[in-house]
Amino acid sequence: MLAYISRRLLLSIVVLGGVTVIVSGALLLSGDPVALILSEGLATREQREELRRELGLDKPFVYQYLDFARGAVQGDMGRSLRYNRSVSAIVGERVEPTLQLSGTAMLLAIVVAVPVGILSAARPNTWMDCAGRALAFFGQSVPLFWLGIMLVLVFSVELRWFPSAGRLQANSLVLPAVTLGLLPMARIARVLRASLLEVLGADYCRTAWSKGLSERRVLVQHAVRNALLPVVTIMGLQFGALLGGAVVTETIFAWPGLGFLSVQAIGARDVPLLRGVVTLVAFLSVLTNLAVDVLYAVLDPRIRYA
Amino acid sequence: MRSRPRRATILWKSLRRDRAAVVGLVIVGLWLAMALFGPLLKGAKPGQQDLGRSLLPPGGSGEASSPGAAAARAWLGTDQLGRDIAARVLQGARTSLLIAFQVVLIAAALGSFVGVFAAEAGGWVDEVLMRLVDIQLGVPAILLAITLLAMIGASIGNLVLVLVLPSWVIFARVVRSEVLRLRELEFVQAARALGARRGRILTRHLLANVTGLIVVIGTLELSSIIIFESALSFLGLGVRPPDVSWGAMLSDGREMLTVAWWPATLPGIAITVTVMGVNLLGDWLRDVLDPRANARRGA
Repeated sequence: MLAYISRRLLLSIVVLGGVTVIVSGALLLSGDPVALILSEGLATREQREELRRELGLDKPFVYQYLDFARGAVQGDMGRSLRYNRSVSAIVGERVEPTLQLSGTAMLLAIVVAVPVGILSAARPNTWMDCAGRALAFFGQSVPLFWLGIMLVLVFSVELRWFPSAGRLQANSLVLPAVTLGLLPMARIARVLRASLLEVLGADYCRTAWSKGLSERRVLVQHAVRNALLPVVTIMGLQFGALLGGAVVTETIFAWPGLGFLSVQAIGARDVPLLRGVVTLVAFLSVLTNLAVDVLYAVLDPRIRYA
Repeated sequence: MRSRPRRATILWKSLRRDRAAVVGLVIVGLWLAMALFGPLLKGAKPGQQDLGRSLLPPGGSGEASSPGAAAARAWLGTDQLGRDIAARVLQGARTSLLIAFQVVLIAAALGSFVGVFAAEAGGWVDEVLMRLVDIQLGVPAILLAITLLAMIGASIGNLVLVLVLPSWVIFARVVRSEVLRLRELEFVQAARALGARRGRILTRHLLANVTGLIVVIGTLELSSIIIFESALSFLGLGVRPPDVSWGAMLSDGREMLTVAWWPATLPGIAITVTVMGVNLLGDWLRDVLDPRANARRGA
């Protein structure tokens, strides 16, 4: 178990290192940030050189990257060009809204998907199954930014039930969470249904039926418990995907989280801030994947020896 | 014997039983036809502005742009600049489908090559390539994509490049594990024992058996690429004016949401219907070409 976890941990570090190298390399391609801050006419050559030194841009790429990596490990990711504040401080403020949004979306997805998946599998090819599958199919096909806009159109513009943007009121969370939750809901419902159908066909479930157990007991105690493994996997994968979906969702609803911040940083050409956001999101997503892997190994002993 | 004619027969037979697949095929076929032949249609041009006809509702004809000319009916309405939405949706289909097909073809070729190469090479080559895959899968693809696009600039060529990045790894991973699995099967062992060369085993026995799987993944990737591309264009980092795309239309329409519902609603329906069609096709292909998929992936 310990060997397994340490291998996964090592892999996580490799992934994080790779991502930060890619992002830093991409930033290098973007041209000279100094030219953006101090334009030709406003600053002397000496001032520009000094700023370049201050930002560490006079050094070769490898040194720049190592400087960044050393700082990042200690929680220092440089200064934002636009806000002239520490990147870590700005990024830190945005973590909570993003976690709140994706957490709520995930909860919503599970609360809807689990009953839908179970009902679908328990009554295959009935109208309930059809409705459940149609919902899941729709959820997988509709682009979430369009869904978000449609929800705003109906519930903010027409009905005026929920605010269309921001995070000022308690019910601001509703529309973004529904938008973000639909795709994981669809995926979880599909996987749960398929996995349950497979388990329900297994010998031990037939035995449970023939013992005369009630449907409820067969379903809950025998089938669902054994069908959960693929569901846990997909939940973990979906949580990582939620962080990506949050970029678009937060932008639509002006939700003050990391996703919206990344789009703002791009708009302002704020290179250090963008690098900070991407690094932090990569960190969160790697952490989630690690947690899922460990949970998976705990749930299924076969994994550890594979 | 050869497997190709049999596979076609299987596909055709199952298509006659599977109504959902037929619906998917019709949807995708129609969109492809519209994307290919849409520009030949007479009528409004997608880029043509006419501020006198701004924000006409679907079916509205408004006033004639010049005295004497008959007012053309805008079947799907017009946007804030008076451009015909129907013409733009058709043009958008062309852009989006072209990009998506390009991306999937490149990603499938690249990913399959890397997958086979990693499986055949083994050792540290395999290790390095697979860690590269892990890095790609370890972070949300959209975040890497917007970072790269913001840095290298938004253009259709760059968009294709950025979309290939998260996509090829899917092919590489699946092809690699499938080749590793197939290689241990008896028929390959037998071919090897009979003295077949490595190249022959690779093409005739391994690749031939992976193509079905590549087609299945390619179809599923196609729908996610269509969504991904429109998301990037929606954020203003993908297809940009004067090129027309569904995502960019949505973003324009969103500005008008309090005044008019159709500029934001209609391109979204186009995306959703297309993606549904491709997904229906993908589900069917998976059932037919990859019978073990249900057991392996769970859905």
